[in-house]
Amino acid sequence: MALYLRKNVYKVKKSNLSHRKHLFRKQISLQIFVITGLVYLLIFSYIPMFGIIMGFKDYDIAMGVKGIFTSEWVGLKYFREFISDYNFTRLIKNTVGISLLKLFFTFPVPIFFAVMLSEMRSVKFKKIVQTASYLPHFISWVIISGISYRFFSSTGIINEVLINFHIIDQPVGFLTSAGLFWGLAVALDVWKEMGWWAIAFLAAIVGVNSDLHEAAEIDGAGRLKRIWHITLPCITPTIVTVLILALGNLFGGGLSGSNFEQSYLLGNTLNNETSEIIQTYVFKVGLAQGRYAYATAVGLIQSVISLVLIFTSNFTAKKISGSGLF
Amino acid sequence: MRKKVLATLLAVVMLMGITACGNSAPYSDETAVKEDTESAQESSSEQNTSSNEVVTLNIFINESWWPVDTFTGIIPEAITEATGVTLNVTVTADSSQLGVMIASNELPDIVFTSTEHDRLSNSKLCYSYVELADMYGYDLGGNEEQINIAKSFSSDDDYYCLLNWYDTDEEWESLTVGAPGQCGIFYRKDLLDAAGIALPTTAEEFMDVLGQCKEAYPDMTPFGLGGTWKFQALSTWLGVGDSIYNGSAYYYDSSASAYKGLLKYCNELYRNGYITAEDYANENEADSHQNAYNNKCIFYSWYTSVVNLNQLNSETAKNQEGAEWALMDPIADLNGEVHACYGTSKGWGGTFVSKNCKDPEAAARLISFLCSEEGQKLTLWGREGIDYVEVDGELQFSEEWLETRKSTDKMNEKFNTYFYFGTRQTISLKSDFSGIEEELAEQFTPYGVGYKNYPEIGIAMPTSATDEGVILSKLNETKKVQEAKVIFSDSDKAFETNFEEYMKAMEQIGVSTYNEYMNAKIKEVKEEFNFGN
Repeated sequence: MALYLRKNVYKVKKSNLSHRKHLFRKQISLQIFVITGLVYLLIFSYIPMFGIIMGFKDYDIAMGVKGIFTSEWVGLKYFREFISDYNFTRLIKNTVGISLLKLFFTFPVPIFFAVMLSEMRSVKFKKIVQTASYLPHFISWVIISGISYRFFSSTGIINEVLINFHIIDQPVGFLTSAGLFWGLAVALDVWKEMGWWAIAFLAAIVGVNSDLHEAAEIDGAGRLKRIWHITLPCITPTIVTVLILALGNLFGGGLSGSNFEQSYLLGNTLNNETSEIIQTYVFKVGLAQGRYAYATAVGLIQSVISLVLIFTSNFTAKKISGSGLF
Repeated sequence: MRKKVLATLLAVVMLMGITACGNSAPYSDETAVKEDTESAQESSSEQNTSSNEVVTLNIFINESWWPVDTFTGIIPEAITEATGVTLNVTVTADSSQLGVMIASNELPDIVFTSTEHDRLSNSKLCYSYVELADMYGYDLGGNEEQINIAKSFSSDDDYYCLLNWYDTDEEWESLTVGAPGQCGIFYRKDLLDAAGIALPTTAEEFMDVLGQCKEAYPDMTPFGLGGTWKFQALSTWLGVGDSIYNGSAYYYDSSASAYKGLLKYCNELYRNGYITAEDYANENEADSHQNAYNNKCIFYSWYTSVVNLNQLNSETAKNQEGAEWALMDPIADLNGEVHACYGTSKGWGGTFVSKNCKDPEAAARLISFLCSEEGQKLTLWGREGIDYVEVDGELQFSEEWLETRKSTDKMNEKFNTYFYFGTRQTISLKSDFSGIEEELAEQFTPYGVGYKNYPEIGIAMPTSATDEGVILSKLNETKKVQEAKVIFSDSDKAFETNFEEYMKAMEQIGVSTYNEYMNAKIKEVKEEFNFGN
């Protein structure tokens, strides 16, 4: 009996394996893409992780790659140095603050924009608006920061208009005021990425069955009610997917991944109080000042905070909506 | 089948695009470096013996204000003729670029820089001058002091550069014209004359004069802050320099007794509307110069040189007929006391030959020439007998040189005196001040009165790898940010609160530790180099 059972288990396992092989061969063209992605992740994300031990060692770049293994252990020296640093609280506050603000604003705006576009009657006008809205996505942050200096400087167009219309008496320091940096960064991010991410939602909205809208219209539902009860629920899977992408890159700047670029390009000594984030600090101490071990430790702290935030967000999302990242 | 082949091809292309193969790994082990050195030696000696072709080397100039980015002109051609080397020039875009290049081991053949000397003085990154001299037999110049100063950057008792712009006390004493370069304030003489405003002689008068300028010319900013120069001149004139170091005791800037007074003065400049926050935030000199050239400011903070004054005049004249810039005399502080500038010059810029250099022999040949007496004079004075002659120690330039010198653009295009990597500052000053009108030379004379040089401060500065070096980096970074916050406070209360926070931050970082270290180290350096005796 036992032998019979063992033979049958072996046959089941063998048939499962051959089934999987058969499936793999059938999907080979898709599997090649997946494997490429996995290899890329392995080479550029997982293998370099061994470099994290630099943060626990007295490493100097002059020691070369071998130095990562041969240099002396210093334990938590650099972590203690960063945590007791005068800038620590400010850097964490700026990094978390800018990231969360971007999530709250850059995530829902494309949804509303896509819904508005879908409700437009004039197809021609809709196309013009849609094209104009996603074009900024293709402009680099370097160009946008240059344009921002022209628009938002004290002698720029924005201040000129506000002064000429007597809305303000003195120019507003958009680029030099610490209090305005977060708002400026979020506003530019929304402007740049809104149109691009709206494409994903528009595609989902187009896929909504028009019979549902007709039926709702017959039942007397107005436009807003149809949006709330039909459009938004139908595109929920797309919303959740985009939210996953945004959360996964939370500290990088969410959907646009623009935290470093904005802080580096639009930051200066006057708005440094609110513009300097962990990424620009790591760049400064690591690459510009050459303190690679210290920069690694700081970067690791950011990764840990990011991980905690993602787990917390996932837990919250599951509690509220029933679905999450994992 | 077709789908599989297409998918495979696409995947391979994606992988290649993503990996985007770069250069070799950084700082490979010593054996590999030695092999590179040996093969470089072999290939360069082959090149040398086999042809007289001109060698092109890539040079990175780590000074964002550098006004030329090509190795063209009469002087570069003469250098090429003498050395068989021409340069492909890249000028840095910002202060972090060199750090990133060092981190990624993407240094070009030659690097000229006034910073990062300690990071570059590394046998894995650059050739030492001793190594180059031994391999190729060239004399790479430098006196004993310069060599000892350069050795202080490395940890292996070798030297990888020689800082230019270094003069001994004897060379300074032999200078009969001009004043050492430092930050000064230029002003629009034509505008002040038109409005009947007299030049200030004290800090208090300067504040009044700026107020008068604001009234007379409301569309202009009274005081333009030139890129990185900002308040350096005011810092000297308000006594901060003297309270940092007086030949014995040393204090980091923020601990200096006159420092708060400087910040208070600058805060008053801001609250009266004589300076703008945006001008302060801008670190790009080229952008700041545009403000001066385009009638946007009346007083302008910049490095004192005849070349710069000529540049201001020639560029502004293109936009405003009759515009005339002049150099303001140093002013007395709020107590009526006059303070002179001092230098900490252990030299300024170093020329490094990187281990990536494709022809280190050619690089050594070039550096040897530039550091020689002939090379130093050529780079700044032009061709002897054609562009200048020396008569009884006095320089006499040709008419062509004097005429071209009136326009900086023409000077840079025609002669191009910006490859002075091996020269002394006294050579530059002799060039700047020879053959100019007496009235023009007199504007600079007050800047030389009481000038002192304390090279012990420059030499005592800790390297970035040490604990004190780390403290210094943090102090400098925090100073940049906190100083701005204090200067741009909107009220007296905010000023005091921000200043207190600033001082607390500096204490927390370790300014007292740094001061103690510097005082001990300066004493050591003075004894070792016999300075001040």
